[in-house]
Amino acid sequence: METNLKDLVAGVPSLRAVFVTAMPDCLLFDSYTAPDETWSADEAASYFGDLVRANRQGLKALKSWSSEMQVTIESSDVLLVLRELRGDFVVTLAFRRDVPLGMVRMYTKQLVERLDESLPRLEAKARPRGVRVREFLEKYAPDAHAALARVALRTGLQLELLRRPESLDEAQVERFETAVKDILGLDTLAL
Amino acid sequence: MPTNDGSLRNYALSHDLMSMAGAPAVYHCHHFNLFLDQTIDDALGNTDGRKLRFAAAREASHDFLRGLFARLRPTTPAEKIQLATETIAKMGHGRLSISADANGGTAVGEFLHYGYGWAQKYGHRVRCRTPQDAFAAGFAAAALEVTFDLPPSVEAAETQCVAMRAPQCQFSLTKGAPAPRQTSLLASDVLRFARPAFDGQDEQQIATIAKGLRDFTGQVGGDERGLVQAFGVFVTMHLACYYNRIAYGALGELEKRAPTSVPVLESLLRESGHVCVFNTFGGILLSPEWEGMVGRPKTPREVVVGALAIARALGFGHWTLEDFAPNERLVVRAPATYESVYFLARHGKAARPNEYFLQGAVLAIAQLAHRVKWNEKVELTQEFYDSLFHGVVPWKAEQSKATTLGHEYSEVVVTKVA
Amino acid sequence: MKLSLDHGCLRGLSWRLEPASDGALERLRPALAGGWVDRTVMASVWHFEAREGAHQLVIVPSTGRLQLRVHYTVPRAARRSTARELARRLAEALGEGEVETDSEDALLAAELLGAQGDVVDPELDGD
Repeated sequence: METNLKDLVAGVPSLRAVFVTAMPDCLLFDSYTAPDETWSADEAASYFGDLVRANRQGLKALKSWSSEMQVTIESSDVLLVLRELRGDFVVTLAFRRDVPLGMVRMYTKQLVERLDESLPRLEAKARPRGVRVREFLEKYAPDAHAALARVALRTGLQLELLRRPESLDEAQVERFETAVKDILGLDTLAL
Repeated sequence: MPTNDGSLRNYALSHDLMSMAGAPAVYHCHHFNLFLDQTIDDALGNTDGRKLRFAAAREASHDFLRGLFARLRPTTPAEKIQLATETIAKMGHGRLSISADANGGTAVGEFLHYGYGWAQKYGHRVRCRTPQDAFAAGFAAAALEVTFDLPPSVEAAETQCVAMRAPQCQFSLTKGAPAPRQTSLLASDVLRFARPAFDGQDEQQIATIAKGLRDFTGQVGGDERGLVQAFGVFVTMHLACYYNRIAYGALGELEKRAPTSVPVLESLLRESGHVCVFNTFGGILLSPEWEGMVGRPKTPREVVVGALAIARALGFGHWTLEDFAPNERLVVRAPATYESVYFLARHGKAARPNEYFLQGAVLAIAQLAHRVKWNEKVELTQEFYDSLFHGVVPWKAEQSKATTLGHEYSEVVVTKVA
Repeated sequence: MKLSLDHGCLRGLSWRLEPASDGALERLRPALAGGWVDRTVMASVWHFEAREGAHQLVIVPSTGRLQLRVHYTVPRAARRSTARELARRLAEALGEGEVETDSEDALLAAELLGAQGDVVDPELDGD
């Protein structure tokens, strides 16, 4: 589904790219890159989603989290600004490094407002239960790197299937959920 | 670890395989220990996983205690039980007090390595629903059996565990039906399956560092709580047959129950190698002790050389450097590993390369050598671990040779992914 | 003297000490005499254990590295304050003046880096 990003970002000449990542699955929803850029949108999108999620948790631990949180990353040739949008999306704006920070903030505000109006609203409840179970597991499991493999062993479900939890049937989701409860030591999952 | 009596800890120096009172032994940290036990329970379910871990502990501990008693010759049952519990505390497994006779009794554990380690590592994040000290349970059972010359028949149930937020671990020991006793596997039994030793590159340096580390660990033992905190981890001197029995036992059982799940279990057994190298080897390389003895590593080769020395000192086997081209390739060979000699002794020839710890560990060594900035401040955190081993990993490992397949050496080749 | 979190996966137990003045290392052994017991086994690494609390101080004389190890039985919430107090006493004995630490937030954030992310049950956090 496209959001006509090219039109939305018109008038911001210092913008190198825009990536819109759908949360919580960290999948690329839409992207725009300036004509002379060669970035891989899919790969970047998933990392940006994870980055915002990690920062959100870190700030929560410091009791400093707010929904207006913004992550800024500066490197030698690019300035990235990441903003959560309604919990449905993470928007990543990539500016040329030589743009003054004040201008970046102004452009960011404008672009986020435009995107807020243009991007669709994804209903959390419509997301498959298997997807929500997986998100819960990845959020809370210790040894997160091994979490899905552990579930695969406990349930007998194939790892490839667990990586696409939206395709699990009801019985499989139930097995998935039971394994996650066992791993986390919980009676129920607050999905 | 107990070396006041020099005959207790022994190395077959040509093969860098270690034994404790004649039983095959290795050093491992709480990260590896907890991860491996957890993997076994994931594979077999909590009940059957615990049963296998208890049986393996009882079996390995039986051989160990027989060797211990033969060497130090306690006479009365009280002396034997005291010697058993004091020795296991010096090995870093925590404090276990056993009040029992030939018909059973109770045991209390404080600062037991598994339960306490679990609480320290995970307790602030998740709730534990099952007791964690199957090893201590098996050890307690074996202590009674060897003391009173019983067949494998003592059952030990952990009724309280500090991992489950109890103030201490408690066990009830009861006499059950006799079970068949597995053939003993002592160090002398498994060493017969080691192939002739050989050297690799940088041999002198690796051997010198390994000796220094062995000398250092020889001075280190359990504190007054029976724990060894070293290099930023809790270390145990552990019984190699325990590890091998549970790993290969779980694989064998899964092959019957759910053969399609075997590759997942194999991947987690390799993962245990990553966990060990990242946390223990990494912790050693970052430690003041290493800085004083060897110096902080500066190049990938220094990391590799250091890691191979660490592997030898921990009793994993005579890991040698066959080939190393930075950013391209790492090849490690060994005439025997603590996995291979066990497997050959217990099961005979394998159907496929099956030294999973070795496979995972060598890959992790390549990662540590190339993806850690040793000249900067290094934090070996979980996040960093995930970034190295989760997602796109620029290295792949293959075990190209295995003594368990009849080859003259085991070999793992790690190459950079294009 | 500067105090900062050192590497260690057991949260908040290992701390790096960086004396501000030259010659601190030479003054160290006499300064430790009262409250610390020498447990050194290797000439290249000095080990001292606190008489109270069994905390450890590890020194690499060749590089000047100092690592303070808070005993693992200290509850997690108290480890930072314990490290600070030990560092303060050492600084005083060495004539080092105040102990500088990272800011509260940075220290806490650094500790959290060693933790493993979210807590699923708020009752579990803290000892």
